[in-house]
Amino acid sequence: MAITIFLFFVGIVLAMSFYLARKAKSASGYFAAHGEIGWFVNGIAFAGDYLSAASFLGICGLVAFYGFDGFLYSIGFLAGWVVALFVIAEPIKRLGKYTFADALNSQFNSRGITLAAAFSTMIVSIFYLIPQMVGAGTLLKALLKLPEKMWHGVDLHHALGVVVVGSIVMLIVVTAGMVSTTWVQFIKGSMLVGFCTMLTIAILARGIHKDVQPSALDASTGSLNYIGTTPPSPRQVAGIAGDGDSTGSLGPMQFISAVGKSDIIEWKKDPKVANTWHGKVVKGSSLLAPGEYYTGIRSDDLMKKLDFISLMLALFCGTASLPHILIRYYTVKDAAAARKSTVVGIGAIGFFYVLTLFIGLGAMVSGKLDPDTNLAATNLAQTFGDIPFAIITAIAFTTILGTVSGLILAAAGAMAHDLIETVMGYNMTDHVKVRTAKIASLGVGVIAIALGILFRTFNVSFLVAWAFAVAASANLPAIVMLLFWRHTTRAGMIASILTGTITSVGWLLLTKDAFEKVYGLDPAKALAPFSNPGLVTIPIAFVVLIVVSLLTENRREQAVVIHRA
Amino acid sequence: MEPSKPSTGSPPAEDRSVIRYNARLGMLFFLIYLVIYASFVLLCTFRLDLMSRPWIGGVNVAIWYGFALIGGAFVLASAFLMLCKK
Repeated sequence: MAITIFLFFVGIVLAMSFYLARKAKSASGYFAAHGEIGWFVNGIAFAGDYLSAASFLGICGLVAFYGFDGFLYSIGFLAGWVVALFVIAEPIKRLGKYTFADALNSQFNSRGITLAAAFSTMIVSIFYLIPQMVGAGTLLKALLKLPEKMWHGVDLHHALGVVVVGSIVMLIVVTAGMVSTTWVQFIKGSMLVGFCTMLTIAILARGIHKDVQPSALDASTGSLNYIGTTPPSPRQVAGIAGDGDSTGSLGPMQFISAVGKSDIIEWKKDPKVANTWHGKVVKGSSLLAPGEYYTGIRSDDLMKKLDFISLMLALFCGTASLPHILIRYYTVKDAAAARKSTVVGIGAIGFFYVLTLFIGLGAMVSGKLDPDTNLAATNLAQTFGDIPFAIITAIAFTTILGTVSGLILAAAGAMAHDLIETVMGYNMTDHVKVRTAKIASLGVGVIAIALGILFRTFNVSFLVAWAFAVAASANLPAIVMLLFWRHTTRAGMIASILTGTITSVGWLLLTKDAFEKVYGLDPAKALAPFSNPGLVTIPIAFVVLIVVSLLTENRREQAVVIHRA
Repeated sequence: MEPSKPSTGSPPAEDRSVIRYNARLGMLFFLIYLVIYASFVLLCTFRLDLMSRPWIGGVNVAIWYGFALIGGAFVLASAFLMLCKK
């Protein structure tokens, strides 16, 4: 049943893509949907684009395991839209045509800027693609109930999921373009918000139940140990406020309050003894306070505190720098429509992010979690039956399909329109340009598949925060200074984009997370002092732009500052 | 066929004043939100005791503040939409 429902959803997505492909023969149709998408549809499509695997799977998983700290991602991801709406939306719409490089280059007509912007677009898109592909592999594995099957450090069943998603997405992008991507995102965004609302209502109606392994408590020592062949849910409710084993139905704030008054067991597998888990009781109030995941917040170590501040800065600045979000401003007809669609997007996305807290906490107290944090939302849906599980899994899957389509489209646009046509100077007909973009899509898709397999052990929200940091470091200083600083020069923009991209990616490659989970090295040997680079690399990109612009100012190539025109 | 270029011509004077007005309004709203968001991040980092304190309905300050940031973004965005020209 679950697989049938799942195939039905995916079939609809593919059928729509093929049908709408007829409208996207020209470059304008393929890259920007002819600028004819209505502002409401575009706004919900914003939500569809943005509510990716990270939002749905990653945040719910982090909330389920670590409480409030997962919700920090919701807050940061939404706050980024404020920058997009108030600072970026109108000028980007006014200045660009197909890609974000168009807007950056509108004042200079420089191949160097186009090349730098295309480079950063490719890097950011690939970084953002990684968590989507990781989530795809995890989802398909769960749907088909495939166990882990390791071969030379690769989980073959996870890899299968990644390859399947990658192949379907490449088919979608090669077939259609921005028209179909927009409509798929509109439908997916609507379904995601609708079904998650229903899931939240079901969570509140069920309330919280005591749920503890009966053999877990060792009365003689008072310690919690569990021995068995079936692992316990990593989080279980050991106690609730008041008498009885269940709270019954609860209102939204009553539910959060009740979680705060509960005792939650955190199970950890014994690394040395087979089939053995050790439990620790944690107060719900502690899980609902900051610092359960970002433990540095609760320490006196300044570096760890800076890591948290850096994360929140990257989330705030990243949204307005994501190429696949920025290109959506070209699908509406004018600046006013861009503004309206952003407000619709903020409403839908904000509402969904409120739901992530309830879905995550609902998963935490459901007693049916999987050790993989990315599966919390689907595990929760499974507790309500096979049909909710199938629907939520299918929506999550189409979420990934839609987001990956948008990302590959942005990267393909950067390659065909910016790199090959503008930088290399090949004059292409519309038909050839679209065909070139489709070939580029295949290349980007293959890279995404390979990286999705390599990064499978990461939480997807964590990976998205990395993509945000790269995007904010590479693109935001150039966009903001172009709009607001009259001394900005061509050389300053190029230097800033390249510096932001290279320093942020370089930093990420030197973090303890990369050392431990990607290279398999001792994390203590990592060179980066904390995980998220934004706090360092965003200011560096700003400083480089200012210094280089001042040094090259006399070449009479400054920007006409748009807002002072 | 010539490569497509974005339109970069100067907008008419009336449009320029609208653009300037909208941009200043956007910057004002952005700064308001920035202050509220930065306060949230700094309180989480350095005043954990305050953010962990139970508040209305037994729900702690951190969660209420988070909801306020999400709701506040929509309120400010709607206000911006109404106040913008054109």
